[in-house]
Amino acid sequence: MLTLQLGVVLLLIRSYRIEQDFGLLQLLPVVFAGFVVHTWAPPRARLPLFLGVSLAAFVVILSPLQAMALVGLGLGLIAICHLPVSFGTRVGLLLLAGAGLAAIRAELVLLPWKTIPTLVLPVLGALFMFRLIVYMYDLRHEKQPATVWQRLSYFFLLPNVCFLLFPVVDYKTFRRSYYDSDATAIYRKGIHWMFRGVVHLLMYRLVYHHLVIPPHAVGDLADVVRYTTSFWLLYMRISGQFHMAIGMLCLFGFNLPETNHLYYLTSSFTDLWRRTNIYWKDFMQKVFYYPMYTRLKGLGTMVAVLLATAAIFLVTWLLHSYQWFWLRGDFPLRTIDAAFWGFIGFGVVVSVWLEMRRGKSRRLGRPAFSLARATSRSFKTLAMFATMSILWSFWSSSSVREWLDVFSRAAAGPPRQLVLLVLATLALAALGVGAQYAESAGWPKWMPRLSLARARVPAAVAALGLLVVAQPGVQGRLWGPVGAVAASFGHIGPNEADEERETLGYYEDLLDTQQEARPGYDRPEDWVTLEETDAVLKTNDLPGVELLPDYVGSFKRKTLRTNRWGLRDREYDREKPAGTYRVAVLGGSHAMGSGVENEEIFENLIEAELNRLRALAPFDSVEFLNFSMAGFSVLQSMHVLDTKAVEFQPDMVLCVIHVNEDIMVRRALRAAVGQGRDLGYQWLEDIVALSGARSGMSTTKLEQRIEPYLLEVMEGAMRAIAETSRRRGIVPVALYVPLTREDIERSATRRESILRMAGRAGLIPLSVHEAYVGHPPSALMVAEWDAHPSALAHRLIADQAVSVILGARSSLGFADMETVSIPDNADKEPNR
Amino acid sequence: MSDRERIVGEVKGYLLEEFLPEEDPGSLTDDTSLVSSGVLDSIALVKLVAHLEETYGVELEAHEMSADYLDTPAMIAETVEQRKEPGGGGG
Repeated sequence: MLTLQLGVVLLLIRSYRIEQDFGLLQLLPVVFAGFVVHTWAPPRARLPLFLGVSLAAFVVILSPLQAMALVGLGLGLIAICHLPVSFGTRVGLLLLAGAGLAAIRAELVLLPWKTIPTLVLPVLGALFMFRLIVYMYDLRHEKQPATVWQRLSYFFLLPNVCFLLFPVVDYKTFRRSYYDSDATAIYRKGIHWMFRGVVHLLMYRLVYHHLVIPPHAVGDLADVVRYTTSFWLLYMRISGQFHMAIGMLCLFGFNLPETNHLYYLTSSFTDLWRRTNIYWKDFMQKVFYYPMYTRLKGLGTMVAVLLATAAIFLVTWLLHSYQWFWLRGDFPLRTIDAAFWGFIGFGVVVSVWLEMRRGKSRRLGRPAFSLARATSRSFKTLAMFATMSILWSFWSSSSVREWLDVFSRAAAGPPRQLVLLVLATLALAALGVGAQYAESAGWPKWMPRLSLARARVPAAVAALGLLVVAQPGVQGRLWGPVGAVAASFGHIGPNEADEERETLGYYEDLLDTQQEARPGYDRPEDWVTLEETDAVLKTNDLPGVELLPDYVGSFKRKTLRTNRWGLRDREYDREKPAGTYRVAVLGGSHAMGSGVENEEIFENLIEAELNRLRALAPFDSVEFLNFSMAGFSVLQSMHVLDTKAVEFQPDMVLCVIHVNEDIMVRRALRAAVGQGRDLGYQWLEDIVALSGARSGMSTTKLEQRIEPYLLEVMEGAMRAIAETSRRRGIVPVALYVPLTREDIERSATRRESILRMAGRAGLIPLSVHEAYVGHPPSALMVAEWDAHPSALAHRLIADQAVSVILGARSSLGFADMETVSIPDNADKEPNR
Repeated sequence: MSDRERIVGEVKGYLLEEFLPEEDPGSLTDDTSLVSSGVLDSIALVKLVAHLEETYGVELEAHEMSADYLDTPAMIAETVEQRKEPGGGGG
């Protein structure tokens, strides 16, 4: 029966692809097989067997060689702990070994095996960075020596290989809890906690996809509440992972305690500290707090307690950076982290001071209900939730200014929002009082203290329900909102805010020098933005930058060469040669060819192919002049057309756009307005004046002001391009190109909307969104840290663009030209 | 009455007065779990240790401030007794 229950939970994890990026799905067969064999094994064989399962997990998730390196390094560290020398010497040797490993992790010492610092050491860090401290602490006071299997099992815990942010398991508790009660009850608890972990992680997805909004989208009080609470609710991911990890260990007899306990219902800072990440609290208390207190107690109990309490938050801050170092390779000491832990520490110190002075009544059993106490606790809980939401949003902000800007929007919005907020607070407080009454009365039986045995039936029903909902085709048959929620459970991609952030970082940061490098991209040092090269000249007009003429240099390890007109292209005369059909290409980094050679850019390939086909006969030749530049959107393209491209007498303007064109327009306008540059267009000046955006404002505030007018600006720029073109007899075309990581089914609505806008504005919309079909993103990207199109991707765009351009020849005015043999799909109407 | 019983009685009196004023004295037995059940948190534990050190003239080490040594009134008394013995250590 237990095996069946575990099977259902693992199936749920698989169906919803829970934490698949961490390798959890690969771990499932190991856990399942390990559990089945383990339960049948004789008790003496169980610890070695658990160790074997853990090692198998390391091999599955890493590779046999990496697993060997991991185990070898780990055994070395454990051996140091047991050297026949004094305790102090062993600690010194461990520090030395740690420093050596840190030098490798920071890549100060380079090893021939490149995966050691980036793949093996993060896992080694997760296994040893805190556990060694606890181990050495307990080793000093160990009454009964542990067996070698106990010691090894403590370090090589199988969930660690997936969950690097693993809770700090206490060594004594780990040993004491091993099969300390009925085995079946422990296994059942493990399955139940794993299921609880699944629920937390699905709830996290719901919040992530439906509640989180980017800072610039915060418009009023309701948005501020949504913005702040969503950050604190995202903590469910951590608690979900912890439940999953500890649940897994329970399956092998380690009856470990809960890691997080109803942390959204804490009523004070001390309560929060005791119920959120309980293992961390225990670790800090044992290794830092009590030793510090005993050293300071000569100053008096109150002073010693307050100093020790304050000190553990300082240590917590530093240890978070220490943890970050082992997992990510650098040691950030951010002011915002210090401020966050400082706030929490201050809150806990004040709570402790009050508790020390006034005392706190405790009860051995369930307390009797008191309306006054229940009401007070309800409001305190709500206040604590609000405080943590605010603090967590502060911690998650990119800057204090951005965070303050978000809060400045709270005054906006109709007064009824404030009334609603007050009413919701009162309703929640009343609900809290009711729940406390129910708890004290023991009614209803299953609600307040949901015992494992009692929870079995509802949990089983919920698990099976979730399993059914995960099946293909079921979600579409569900009632609208329920279907949407069910769909969010299965959605593993980035949410709108993150997708947007990803796209922003994905483009060179040409226009805003204050933008920080994004985390998660391990770019080589020479992989700089275009702005960081000497190929760029700053200007005070709408684009703000242009390429230097006759430049030859390196950009993203490729040669960047410009012609005498400052175009990344071969030389062309300003005067169009007789018998030549000329196309002016406008756009951003895709069209400029970030990360590829000049000759590999799709516009050059299209030019060559059309000339090879003599596709535009009776014209003798076709010329594609590339006016694009990394970071440009239709807004800058409009300016480039008016000030530069028209002088080259193009017959066609090919404006290259993509799914996140609106984001690029927002950035462009934000930078131009923020830097007080000359916008150069009256209609644009008027919109900006109407929005209230002006130079000197923070990035977030500028974006908030611009946001309501964004689409108007974008369509205005497209219209201006179309009108300029038509006035001069130029054919205006918008060519949609896909992003290398774009899911074209998911982006269909956005793509169609952008193409419709282009059509409304007077551009002829063409699309090559299917160019990458059948090719994995890894082959389409210039590097794993840079998603710009590779040479292959440019070739694919060019191939499809030739087909699409020739297929649309009637719309483009080539219909009266000679018919040529053209590639597949070319006879289609414009691919919109 | 043995020394141990006397200490247990005094400790229970202190616990009831300081931390469990609303509790029925009968519900606190020699073996009532206090630390591992969460009744005594870190602040209460520090207060208890300060009281023991002051009352019995003993000194407890940091690692003894745990459920292993101070979980029940009986364990508290045992720890105090061991500490009172000449050369008594907590392990």
